[in-house]
Order: sequence, then structure tokens, then C-alpha cells
Amino acid sequence: MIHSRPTFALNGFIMALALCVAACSGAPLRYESPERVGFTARAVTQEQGAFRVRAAVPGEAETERLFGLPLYEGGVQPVWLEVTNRDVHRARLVLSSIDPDYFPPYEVAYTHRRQVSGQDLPVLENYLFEQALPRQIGPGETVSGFVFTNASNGTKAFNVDIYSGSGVTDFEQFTFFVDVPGFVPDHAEIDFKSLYSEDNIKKLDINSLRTFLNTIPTRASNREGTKSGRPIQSFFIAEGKDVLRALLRAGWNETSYRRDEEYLADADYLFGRPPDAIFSKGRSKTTERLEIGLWLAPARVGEKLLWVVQFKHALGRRFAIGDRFLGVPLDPNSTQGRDFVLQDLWYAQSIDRWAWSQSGEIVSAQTPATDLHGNDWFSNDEYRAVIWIAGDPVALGNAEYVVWSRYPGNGGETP
Amino acid sequence: MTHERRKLLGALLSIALVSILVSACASAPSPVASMPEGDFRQRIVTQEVDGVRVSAGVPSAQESKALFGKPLYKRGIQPVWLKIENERDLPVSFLPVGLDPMFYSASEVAFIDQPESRAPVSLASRFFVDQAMQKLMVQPGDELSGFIFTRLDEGTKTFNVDLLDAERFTSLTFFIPVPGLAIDHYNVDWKNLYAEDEWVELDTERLIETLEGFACCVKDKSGENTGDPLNLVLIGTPRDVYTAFIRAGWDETESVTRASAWKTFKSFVSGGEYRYSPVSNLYVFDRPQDVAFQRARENIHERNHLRLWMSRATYQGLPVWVGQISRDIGVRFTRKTITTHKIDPNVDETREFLLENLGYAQSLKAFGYTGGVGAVPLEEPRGNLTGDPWFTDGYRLVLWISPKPAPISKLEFLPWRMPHE
Repeated sequence: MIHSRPTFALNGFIMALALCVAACSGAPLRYESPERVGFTARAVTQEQGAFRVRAAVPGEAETERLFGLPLYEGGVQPVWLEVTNRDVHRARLVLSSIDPDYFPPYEVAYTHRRQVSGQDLPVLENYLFEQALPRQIGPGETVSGFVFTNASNGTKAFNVDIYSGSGVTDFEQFTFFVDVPGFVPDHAEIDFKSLYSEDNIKKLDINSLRTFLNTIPTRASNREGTKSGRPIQSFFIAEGKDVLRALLRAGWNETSYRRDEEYLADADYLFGRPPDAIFSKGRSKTTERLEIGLWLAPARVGEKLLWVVQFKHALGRRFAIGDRFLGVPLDPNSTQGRDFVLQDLWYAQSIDRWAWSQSGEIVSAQTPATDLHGNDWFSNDEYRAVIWIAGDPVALGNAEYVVWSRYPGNGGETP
Repeated sequence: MTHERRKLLGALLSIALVSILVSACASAPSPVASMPEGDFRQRIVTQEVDGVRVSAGVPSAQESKALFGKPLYKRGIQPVWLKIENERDLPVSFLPVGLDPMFYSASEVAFIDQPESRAPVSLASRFFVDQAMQKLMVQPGDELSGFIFTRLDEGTKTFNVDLLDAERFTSLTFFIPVPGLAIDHYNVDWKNLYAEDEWVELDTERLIETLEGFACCVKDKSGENTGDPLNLVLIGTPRDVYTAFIRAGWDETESVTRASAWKTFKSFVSGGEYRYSPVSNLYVFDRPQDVAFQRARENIHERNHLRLWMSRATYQGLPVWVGQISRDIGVRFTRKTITTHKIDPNVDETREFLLENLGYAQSLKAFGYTGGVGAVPLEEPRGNLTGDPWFTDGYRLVLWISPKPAPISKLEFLPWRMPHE
């Protein structure tokens, strides 16, 4: 059993050691200006209403140059913003909208105090305080600075909310998806354009889609195609970038698993290859318990791409970032996993439309199927969710239900 | 081929996910939750809306262990029992992700403490699967009951039960006190805090004057030494204040007992989490705080602390509170208290965080500022009772608590004093 926390005694020892080290460590401070580090050249610009916002996220190495400290190692990721207020009123930027658990500059300084000498701590505090983004922006003013957020893997997704006027009457919300250097997500290594030749891509409308989904296997397989793997529970219909945005908005992280021989030998295969992209999500920033695997299908629905989706839920252990779901116990209840993904995306306002496709299989809990790694799984009904993904948020009540089949469960009519 | 599209509901529910679009929850001044007692079946709370009745109960740590044979609370898991009765003429779906976006599946709970088991569809897990909510849809005239395994919140458990049918989306909010903690506000006799003739109702002008006349800072027990600035004012009933903070993700605070002292020590040494850790007493109106809330990150070393004292003043019939908020940014050693939290010296930053936090949790009706602390510049900071420096623009943030969830677009600004001009 891997416990989620080191033992009591061990912690006491580590703490004593830390105190001892603290007494004798500390390097001189060294930091470089944002201009010198140069990452602001990558800034993404958006304009809405009376505001212009530029955003950039320095990578791990750039951050160390900026602040002289390995902030990423401590779970802190600076986000740089420049905000111009063209309004005649004062505006207020909501720091919590970028990360509700952001770190204020004095906290960043204090938690890194052991890495600087005693007399340098006030210097560090002042430096971070000066570099922090202010909340208030006067009329006609431009401000810039850093917000210290909780570090995440891959593309950084965040909102920036700005209120202006004397109260909170005028409101603009910006949503950013910013690339961060130093992390190459798995999907960036796949040349999606060359996966299929144009002749082999089926052109579907909503009716032919229904029939086509029956041809997609109900389970993945091993590399040789000789054994059956985990079930295929859902389909997404969307451009790749919209799938990415929708999943990021729902709190999923990109992964960058190395496609080495061990991985290739053990993975679930569909269309003769392992998933084109895997996203993960956990209960805290150091645990990853849920995974979504995506395969691009050789079909297009109207102008949109069709993605085949497999959901996995690992049980009972803590995963470090980068751990793979190979040979770990998985939740056997496939139906529940499918429903979770549907609800998760719905709450994240990422569903434009959805439907049930009667193209799956029933596998009873009493006589479960077995996956490539000896895990049992079962499926209470034969329905697979078909989700038209919304790139931009869709209000909860505005997601449309497309009636194809009776709703799973209780033999009920459609909801 | 039937290709029929149906709009689920046209109503605008655009605001970000979760919780917040809530109905229910009490409004009129009423007592805060009292110490819960008895079996969880006796503590079941029922709410009804548009023909759907939802009952909910939360077993304590001990009850959960007895029910499931495993120390679920110790593993961070809290079972919530639900019964949904559908009197509508449409099937109603329950959305567990709305109750806890990262709830635990029954198999996952079954798997706890049994890592060797490679096949969770075993007899052991059947038990949990049977106890759990099996289906998500309730037919007309039917009912559904079972447990949902959620992430642990001691003190008061708050959650939404979201229901969806072809015509509407309904969300009910529950606040259920759970036994097991010695929560500080259980011991406060709110009704007798002041004698009947001591309360003073104030108009706006006199309220501002009174607020600016309060002491700048908290004191120690002797009343001789001053500490952190009193940088908050709240307007609202005890019940509304409590609900507002719980909804915004704040935890209640345990009173100092032998058990809570041990938990604090353990958490300090292990760096682990003790979200309800007692806070030291600071004094205003010659008494320690009436209630304290805290909002933790990942460990005790980083959390926000907030203490409140109810004053004798009322405004539009509502109690006026004075308070102090600071953010702990680490732990350090002192001669006097051995260890203490190091606070962020920029106390205005923490104050503004609270405004955003409560505003986004839809807990505020209005906000504004008054003077009263006096400006303390960065270059000449003052010290709190444990010697931590702080500086401020000298303003008090006034937070008028909304008795029911209020969208941030409706938040009013009270133009009393303008700190940022």
C-alpha cells in the first residue's frame, strides 16, 4: 500500500534536517528583468470593451532567471500580465479570477527564505512586491506585473476578470490559453494531418454518423490486435483546439508520456495505435487519478473532427506527475466513468449538444470482462455518449440534447 | 430516423459551474447551527422544490466507520446519504458531479486498505456498490436513495444537490452540521451577548462615525498591547455570516481542547492538514473573538485566518461586526509562544482577497470602506502581538452579507470612503 503521506517519524526527521540546513544555506540573490529574459515577446494579446490584456507565462528555466529561485519546484508558476484601461473610470482586476489560490508576493518570498541569505530576504520581498501585478488600474493607465499561481502542466488556462466604474457595473472576462515552454504535450508530437489520407476519411452528416458509430469497436485492443482492452465509452465531435480548450476548462491537464517500448507494448490500441492524446486529472495537484484517452477517427462530421474517447479511473494509490496508468488497478464500473465525463464537461460549460448512441455493449458485473492488465470491468448498458464539444462556454441550460435513443437506465423515456 | 432537438431550459444559467446558483438556505435571523447530536438518521435534513423532495444526512467519523467497517474519514472520504423522491410527471436525473466534482466511486472506496485485491468486483466491493446511489434517474412517483462518497469536510458539510429534467435545472443547497469537532461558535450564546437595552440602531452617517471610532487594532488579554489591525466590518445575522463563509470554502474553528491541541501539534510536525485548528485569542470589546474562520491551502503553514466580534451596533436591523483578517505565510519560532504563524505584512492584500472570495461565492449584497485603522506605511510598519510587521492604507473593508446567494453582477458599492482615489 502506498500511503499518501510519509510517516510521522520520518517527517519529524526531515523537519529537523531542514532546520539544520536552513541555518547554513543561502545564496546571493540574482534576478533578471522580464525584458532581458525576453519571454514577453510571446505575449498573447486580447482586447475587449475598454481593456487590452497581454499575457505570457515564463517556463521553468525563464522563471529561475527572472527571480533567481526555482519557483516551479515549489509549485509556483508566475503569470505575466499587462493591462491597459482605456476607460474614464478606475478599474479593478480580480486576482482570484486568475487562480483562486494564488500566492501573494510576500508568501512567495517567505516560503523561499531558506534559499537566500538572511540579509537578502527583505531584498527579495521588495523585489517580488514590486514585480506583482496591482489590482487597481487608473483611467488611461497601463499596469504590468506577475501573478503567482499554482503550477500546472502544459498549456496554461486562466481567466482575467476586470470590473470598472464606481461599483461593479461594467465587467469584462478574458479567457487565455497560453503555451508554456519546456513542456511538450503528447498531442503536439502527432502529425494529425498525416494520420489519414483524404480518400480514407468518411464524410458524415448527423444521420450517417449514427450508423458509423456502430463500426467503432466497443473495446480497445493490444498492439497485435489479439486481446481486448478497456471499453470505448464516448465520442467527441470538435476541432482539436476546441477539445483542448474544453478539457482545460474542465480542469484536465495535458500529459507528455514518453512513447517508449514499455508504453507501446502495454497501451490500449485503436486504429492500430495508442491514444493520440491523453489528459489527466486528480484530487490534488500531486495526484492523478483520472485519464481520458483520445483517438482521431477516420471520419468528419460536417466540418468537425470525430474523436473516440476512453475513460480510465485508477484506484487506491497516489500518482506522481508523469506516472502512467500501466498495470494499476482501475475502477471496473465503465458506465459510471462515461456519466462522469458527460457531467464534468457539462458543468465546465463545454457541451454544445449531446446524444446517446446505442453502439456499445452490456457486460454484467457478475461476469465482468478483463482488460489487458487483468483488471475487471463491466458496463450496465450499451449506450455511448456522443458529445459535440463547445470551444467557447455554453450556459448550463443551453446545452442541447439530441434524441437518438432512449435514455439509459430504468428503461425510461428521454429526459 | 427521429432527430429531435430539445432545449433543456432556456433560462440563463450562464454563471460558472457549481454550487452557486442555489435557491433555498435560510434568510431570516435565526440561531447558528448548534452542536449536532444523535444518530445521523435523526439529523436528516429535507428540502422540497417543485415536486421533488430531497433528504440528506451525513454520518460522523464514528458512524461511518460503523456503517462501512473502514475509517473513511481518516482516508479523507465522507459518505453523504441522499433520498430523492420524484412527484413530478417527468423523470429527474441527479448529477453527482454537482455535489462534489471529484466524488469517490463505490469501487474506489471498496478498494481502500485492500491494495492486493486485483478484482474490485468482489464481494467486498459489492457491499459498497449496493450502498451507493446506483442509478442517477428517478422515475415519476418513484424514489432513489443511497450514499455518495465525497471529499471530507468536518464541522459543517455543505453541498448542492443538482437535479435536471427535460424542462428545468434545480439546485438545492444543504448545510449539515456533523458531530465530532468542538466548533467555537457552538459555545457562543448569541442572544445574550448584550443586554436588550445595549443594542444601538444606527443610520449610515452614525454607522460610519462609529466604525471609524472603534479601536485600530486587536489587543492582548491584559489590554495593554495592541496587535493586528481591525480591517473588516461585516453586516449580517450570525446565521448569514456563517452560511456566507461556509459557502465560500472557509472552515470553522475548533475551541482549544486537549484533542484539538494534539491535532495541531501533529499537523505542525508532519506538515499535514488540520483545517479546523484552534486560533489564539485576540481581544476586542474586552473579550476574545466570538468566532473564527480559516481557509487552508495544502498544509497548516499557509492559510487565511479571520476573527470576528459582534458589536452592539445594528444597521437596518442587522448586527454589525468588526473583524481582523491575516494570511499566514509560514511558521516561525518565537520566545513567547514557541511557534507562531508568520503573517503577510501586506494586510490590505489579504483584505482585498476576502472581498473577491466572498463576492465570487455570491455571499455579498454590498461592499464599501471606512477609515479607522490609520495609514501605516511600508517603510514604517507596526508589529502584531507576536512581533510580525504589517502595513496598510488604513481602511476597513465593509462587507454586507447577503442572506441568500447574490450574483456578483448585483453587488453594490457603498461610496462611503474611497481608498483607491
